[in-house]
Amino acid sequence: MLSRNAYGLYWIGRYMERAGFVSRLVIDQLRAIQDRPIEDIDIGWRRLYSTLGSTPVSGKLEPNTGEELMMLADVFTLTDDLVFETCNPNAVLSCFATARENARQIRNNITYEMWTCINVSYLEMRNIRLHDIWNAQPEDFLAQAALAVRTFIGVADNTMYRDHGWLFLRLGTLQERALNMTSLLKSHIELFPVSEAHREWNWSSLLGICEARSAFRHLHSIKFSPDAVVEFLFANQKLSISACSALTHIEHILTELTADNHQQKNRPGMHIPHALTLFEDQWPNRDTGNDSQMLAMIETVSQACQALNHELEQNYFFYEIEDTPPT
Amino acid sequence: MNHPRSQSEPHADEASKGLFDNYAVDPQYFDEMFASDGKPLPHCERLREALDGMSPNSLLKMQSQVEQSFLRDGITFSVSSENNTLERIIPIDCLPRLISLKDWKHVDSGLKQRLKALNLFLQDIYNDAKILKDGVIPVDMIYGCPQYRPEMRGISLPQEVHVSVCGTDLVRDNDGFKVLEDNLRVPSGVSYMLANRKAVKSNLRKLFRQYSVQSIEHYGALLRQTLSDLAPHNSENPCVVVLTPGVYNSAFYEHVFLAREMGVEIVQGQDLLVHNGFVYMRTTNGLKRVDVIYRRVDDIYIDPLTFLPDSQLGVPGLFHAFRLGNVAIANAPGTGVADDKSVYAYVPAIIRYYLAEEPLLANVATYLCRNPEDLEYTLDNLDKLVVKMVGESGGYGMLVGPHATPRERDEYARQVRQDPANFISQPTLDLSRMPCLTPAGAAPRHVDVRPFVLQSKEINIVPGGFCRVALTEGSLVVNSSQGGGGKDLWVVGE
Repeated sequence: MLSRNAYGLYWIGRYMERAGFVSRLVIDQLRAIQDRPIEDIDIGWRRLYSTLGSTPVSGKLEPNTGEELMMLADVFTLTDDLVFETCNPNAVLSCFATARENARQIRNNITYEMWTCINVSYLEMRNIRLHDIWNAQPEDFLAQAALAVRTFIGVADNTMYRDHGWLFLRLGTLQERALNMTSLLKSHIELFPVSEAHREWNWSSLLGICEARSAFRHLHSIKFSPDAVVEFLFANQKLSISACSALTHIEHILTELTADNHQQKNRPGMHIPHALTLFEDQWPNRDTGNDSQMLAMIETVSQACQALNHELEQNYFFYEIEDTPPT
Repeated sequence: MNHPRSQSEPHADEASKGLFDNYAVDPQYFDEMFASDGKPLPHCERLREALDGMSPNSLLKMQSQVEQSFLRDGITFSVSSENNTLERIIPIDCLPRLISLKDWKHVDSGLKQRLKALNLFLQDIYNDAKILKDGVIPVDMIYGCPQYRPEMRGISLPQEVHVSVCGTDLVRDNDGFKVLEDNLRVPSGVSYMLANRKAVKSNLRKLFRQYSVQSIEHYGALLRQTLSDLAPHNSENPCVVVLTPGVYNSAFYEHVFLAREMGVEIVQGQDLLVHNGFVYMRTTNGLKRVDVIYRRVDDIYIDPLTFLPDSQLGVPGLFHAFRLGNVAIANAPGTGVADDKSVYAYVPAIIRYYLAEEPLLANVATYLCRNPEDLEYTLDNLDKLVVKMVGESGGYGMLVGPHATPRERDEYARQVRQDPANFISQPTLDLSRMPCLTPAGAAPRHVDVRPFVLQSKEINIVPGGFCRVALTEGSLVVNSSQGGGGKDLWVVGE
């Protein structure tokens, strides 16, 4: 497959996954403003922006001072920034626009059904403004966006030929998923340490963002133990959104890609196998309630995923040309 | 059944709401659907009957559905404005244009004859130049043409074919079909031919089946075969790619469409590199050799080492690889000299010279302003003529005399006097008309058609073309960039 097309598919995967993730983050926050105390709403915005590694339009995320809680900015402005702001690359609309533009450039490498799915979703969203939906239920709009992402992934799964294009699309999706999960867990644990007394709502909200509440309840009943929640989201192999599951699939894809490429000197994703052993060895033997140990392991996985980006570029997308190309 | 009025005939039944109630046949123009007495042409009778059974509102609804489907499918072209680039659909009119098989066979033969002669002409002028030595065409017209590429001299081409893909614009008046121009560089519009067919066919399913319309869906396969036949070194499974300037090119949709139809990669200059005289593309499995490039990039941009030095769209060294015969480029560089508007006037002579045959398709009468008597005639009759710059296309740089103001004509005359060789003039054509759907029912609009002719080992044409329509009442400009739209063209038996 043409490297540029593979690169385009990889980024379609990443941006679509990100669109779904940001949608879910904002849905959770919009639901919080309906009935949660102002402290929860404030800290929810902090968790959200910290997860995305960005700052709100109103400025830096300073720690709360005194007893006065800072709302950062009004909910409308922040929601607009995260959903419709075209200058914000993480905004839901921007993610759809970028994914769609990538799709447009490589249309002959995706199926008609995939193109229609992404194009129609974007065309429906692009003319909507927040004030059009604010008085109804803006979270419904975001739920539709998240559904569009899932539909796209399903359509791709059902219609794409299993060649390199498919592998790079999956790689982008899974890498983004692992990065999002590790970032969310780090931000959450820093704000709500596992070792400290907890409020059930905070952990339930975390499961809600990951659409894992129902699965968690099946496994653990209705009791929310912070450690169990982190374990579930980070290391449960059977949960498709978990970091462990994403990493395992990434490793399978990299193995398949390497087997196909006989000219390749270095295998990309060198740190992934090491990160995977962590789930087998260190994680099960961690000290329950040891936040710093937990954060260090999450960070290890996060870094392995971050490094993958550069390694893919070096090996598949923008590699240097040898002196004597094959004939 | 009510027949449309001939222009002198009063409207028969104002109370009826038929699609053709207000449709007037004007004998000045050939009507593609109706005879001058208002009765449908024999091959259009069934179309007329089918349309009579549909209300204008249901047709307008169908029209709207088709436009929505174009938007949904991304069948768009880019229009650049000052601040941004907009994606627009090419307007489509849902009423198909029908051409009888008998007429089509004549067109088919005429187009094949024309392309065969033009390829012989290009092979000649870049080699022995016999036609110039024999004085059939003025030497300075060829060597002074900006589209003539001296770099092409003496290059041996696969099958000796310079033009593999040709889009010839045909118009029809009361005397029959005429060639308006040949597009021999990077002719576009074939994707709209296929997209219009898909859309109209699905909406007029029953009628389409009744007519046994000639198929055009195999165009992609035919193009792939044509290009594969150009591959150097007799490659069994040659690597064919489509070279596009990129997503901001107005025809990008078409480039993607063709790559998809052919099942080949679409590449940009940055995806290709030349090493040891061979062209490679960068893939996820390492470099892969490219055998044939269907380029949708103008000559001057394809290789910064040979042509425009600051081109970002091309591939350094590509022309060298081409010259060595290690890669085929379709169409070959330098084909533009044969579709220059001055050279166009000589195509009938070119056909006679190389094939010793009379042209099957006539040219439109053309006055070359480089000739003093033609210049004088042009300047004296600006209000009756269409004047064009020889190197322009797409309807740009053109004066439609009868529609221009005296001031516009004066300004244009000044330009013509300054550089006469850069202009030609033609009589204002009585382009044929065809019913188009409007909110007020069917109305006559001027049309032309661009069939696509393919040549490598043999010459092939799919029975159809991109039918263009001037959607504005009375307008003769069918170019999509200037308010034109498309129609599906059906080649049907009597």
